[in-house]
Amino acid sequence: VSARGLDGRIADIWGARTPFGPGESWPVRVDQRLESGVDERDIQWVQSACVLCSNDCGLDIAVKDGRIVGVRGRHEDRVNHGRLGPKGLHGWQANNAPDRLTTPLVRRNGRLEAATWDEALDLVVERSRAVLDEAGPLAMGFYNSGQLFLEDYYTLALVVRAGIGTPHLDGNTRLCTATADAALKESFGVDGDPGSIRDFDLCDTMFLVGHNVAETQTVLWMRILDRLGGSSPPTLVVVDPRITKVAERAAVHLRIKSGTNLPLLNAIQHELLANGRIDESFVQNHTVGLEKLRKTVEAYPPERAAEICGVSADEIREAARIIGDAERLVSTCLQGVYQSHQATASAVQVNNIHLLRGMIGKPGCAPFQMNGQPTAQNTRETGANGDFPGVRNWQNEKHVQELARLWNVDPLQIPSWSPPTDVMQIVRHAETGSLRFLWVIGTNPAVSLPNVERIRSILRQERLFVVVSDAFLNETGELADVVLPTAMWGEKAGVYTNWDRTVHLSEKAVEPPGDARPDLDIFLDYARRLELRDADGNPLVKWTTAEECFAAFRELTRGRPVDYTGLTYEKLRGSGGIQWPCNEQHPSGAERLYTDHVFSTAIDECEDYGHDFLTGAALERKDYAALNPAGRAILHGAEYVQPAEPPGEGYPMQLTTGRTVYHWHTRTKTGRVPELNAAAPDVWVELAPDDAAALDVGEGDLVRVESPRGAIEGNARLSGIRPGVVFVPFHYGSWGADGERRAANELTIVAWDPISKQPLLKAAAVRVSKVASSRGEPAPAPTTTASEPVPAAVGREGAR
Amino acid sequence: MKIARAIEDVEHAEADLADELRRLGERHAAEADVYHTAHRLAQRCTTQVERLAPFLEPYGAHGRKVNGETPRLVERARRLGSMLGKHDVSALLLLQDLESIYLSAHRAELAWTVLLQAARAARDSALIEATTAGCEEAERRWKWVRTRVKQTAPQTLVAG
Repeated sequence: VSARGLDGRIADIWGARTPFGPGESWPVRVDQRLESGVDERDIQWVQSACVLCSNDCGLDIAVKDGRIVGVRGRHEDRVNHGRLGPKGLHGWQANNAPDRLTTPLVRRNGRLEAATWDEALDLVVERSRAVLDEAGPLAMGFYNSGQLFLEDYYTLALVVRAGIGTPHLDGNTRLCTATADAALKESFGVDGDPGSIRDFDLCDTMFLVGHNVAETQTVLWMRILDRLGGSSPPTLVVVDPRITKVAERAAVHLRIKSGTNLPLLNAIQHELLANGRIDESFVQNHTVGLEKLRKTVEAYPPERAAEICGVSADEIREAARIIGDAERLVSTCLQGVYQSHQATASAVQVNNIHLLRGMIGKPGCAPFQMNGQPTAQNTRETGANGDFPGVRNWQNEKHVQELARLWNVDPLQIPSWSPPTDVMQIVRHAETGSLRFLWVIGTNPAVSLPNVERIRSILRQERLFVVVSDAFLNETGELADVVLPTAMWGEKAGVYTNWDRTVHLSEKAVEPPGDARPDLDIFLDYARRLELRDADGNPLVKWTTAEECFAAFRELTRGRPVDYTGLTYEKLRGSGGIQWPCNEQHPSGAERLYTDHVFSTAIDECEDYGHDFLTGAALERKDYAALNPAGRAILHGAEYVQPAEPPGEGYPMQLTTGRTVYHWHTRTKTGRVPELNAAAPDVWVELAPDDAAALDVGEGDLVRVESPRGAIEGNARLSGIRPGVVFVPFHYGSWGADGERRAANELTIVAWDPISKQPLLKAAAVRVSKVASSRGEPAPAPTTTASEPVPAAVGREGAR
Repeated sequence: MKIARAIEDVEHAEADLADELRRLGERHAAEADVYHTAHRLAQRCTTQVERLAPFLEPYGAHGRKVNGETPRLVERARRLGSMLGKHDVSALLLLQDLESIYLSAHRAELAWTVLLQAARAARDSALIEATTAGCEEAERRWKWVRTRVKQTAPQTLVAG
């Protein structure tokens, strides 16, 4: 194994520093890893981008004798300038794993057995027809991913929304990025982050809220580290209950109680307003809602927020001072906001801060509602989740008619009587029996949804027919009636888009193993066998290849803010990534949105008419007309409300779940990569030293964590986490654990944000007890990141 | 002046609505959003009525407190909810209960509107302010119920 220069970049996660100053170009550093013994001269390089976080770093896939043998960062790519993180460097080995699914499986006599594609798909189609005949389209549900390609998603959206005609299509983006999407719509009218990754190169201040970027997006953190090591480094303000690597570099680290982002952000706005740190003319000309916002945040002086959040009023004031003094401010939110109590309401406050300060649509100034997954942006843009295709508004009749015209179907065929159904509601319909067919595509709900015992029992029901498409037989596949083997990244061509709207082309490098097929081909085959037709009786889906599908999607985006009309595979080939909108006006892509400070809030442009922030009540066209933002951004105020399950008697501690840098989701891929698996082989439970002492728990001791839903066991890691909070990584299901229960979601509460419908995976109350002593063996948790053991953390606390 | 009557009407409407919201939440606890939102709104009925406390004496109105959790009511509803949780009849029951609470939410909003009109005519700016806030909260409740009805009706009436 060779990863140029380093130890395989497992311990040295971020690699060597290449410092740079504001406005300078981030120096190139090409990271590469090849299978040992491979001669570079024998390699054919195939263009692609990494699919192991939302950064989408440009890389080339090394192919030798029809096999993937490594990767190399693309130096010309705007996202990574040649760099790759540990998952990107090593993750490709999953493609070559010996236990890839190579043939369809069909359940016979209670067991999954190998079958042909004809047998498997005929069965799926026969069951679809039977359910459609007996119960209609509302008995059909589809739950997909943030890991497919744009062409897979768009084909699925067309097949389900216009062909089947059910609103029950969602993506696992519901768990990762639904709140980003919702917050952008609420503030600016449509989805799409307004800024550019280059704003990180230009800013003087960064405000990171619930965003452990060092682990979630390692290459973006390399960029930030290089800014921190260069001239005029940015000042960091960090909100996180753990002492992450990011928090260690902060001028102010607000180690708040979980679920208290909103009062903190209200207090910061209180200070900005009280001290006149706002751009009056910007607010006057380009926003609506200031007076209501002012009234709301007036009730949150730093002292009140300090009490709720468990930090000092002085720290809040200092954070507000830094943000108020910033001349070029970049802010980010991720799961610490999105999977918490009052998710959308909190994310929107970060947008507010930028609007109040007039720091949007210009270099070095942008709020980023981050994505989790590499292709989550496309799930949203194509309408394969809770959105309508082409950032269209389900409540806008004109938008529905446009879709119907583009698809040549009756507008009535497209479900637009309510928003597309979120996955928790789809699951609920399956629980009551009104949903009888569920197709799960490239995701693992038996590990990743809250309260997995309930999910498993729903998936096991006789009356529910479950189809699973995946590259591996995961925990969900084990419960399926039919399992379809899919091609992975590198085995099919397609396009995907990262969090700053950068579009990449990923070429097909190798053939999929055995009979595995691209998701796109499976959907096409399904539509053909089901004989889905348009209004003229012609086949509904007009394309047969990914490139033809992309061309159709381009047309769908014409005239919408998410304009892809200027992009082709040919143009993306050889490029370093191109941002949308890309059209006649912006032939090379537009780096930033809203540079004229006209937002996409006109009534027939916006993607949503908004919501009540307390209940999630959907506002209607007449409500939106009354607000009349007409191109101005919307400032939303929101008051703090008590969490659904506050720690208390019986369950005195608060659970937060999250990721480690070495794994992705439920480890379906990364668990099969030797270096990554060895770096984080098993679940652990993070406790603050004081909490551990009170429970007589030492480093590595086996502990039991219980919530009203279930229990898991894991070894304790004494870390720099906030006292009273327990962290459990969400990656570990029963696969590789002899069926032992260790999924963090055995514990999580069934509750979600009222607007984004994102489950609150960081909001359960738990109790912890000691099971057995470790006899000196430390927990199997990485020591290189936020799960670092305590002495260092204690040292830092002492030094303050 | 008979403003006392309008104040008492608001108190009654809020107290009834709080009870009904709690019953809704418990009967449909398997619908997690209904459970959490209904309980949250019920709790806020108490705050709603507290807005009127400064005006009771000046207008000679009787104070009425909104009940907190009523153990017997909640227990009965919870038992029914857990019996029906996995049955498809629960969806029809949910639709019925939402329809019924939509009317109660509107009744409460109307009571606030009546009081606001009275406050305006009486030129009582403090009461106007309190009542305006009450009206806003009252509006968000029926809007939530309406959203949930629009989401529930198609599945309940057309699927299956």
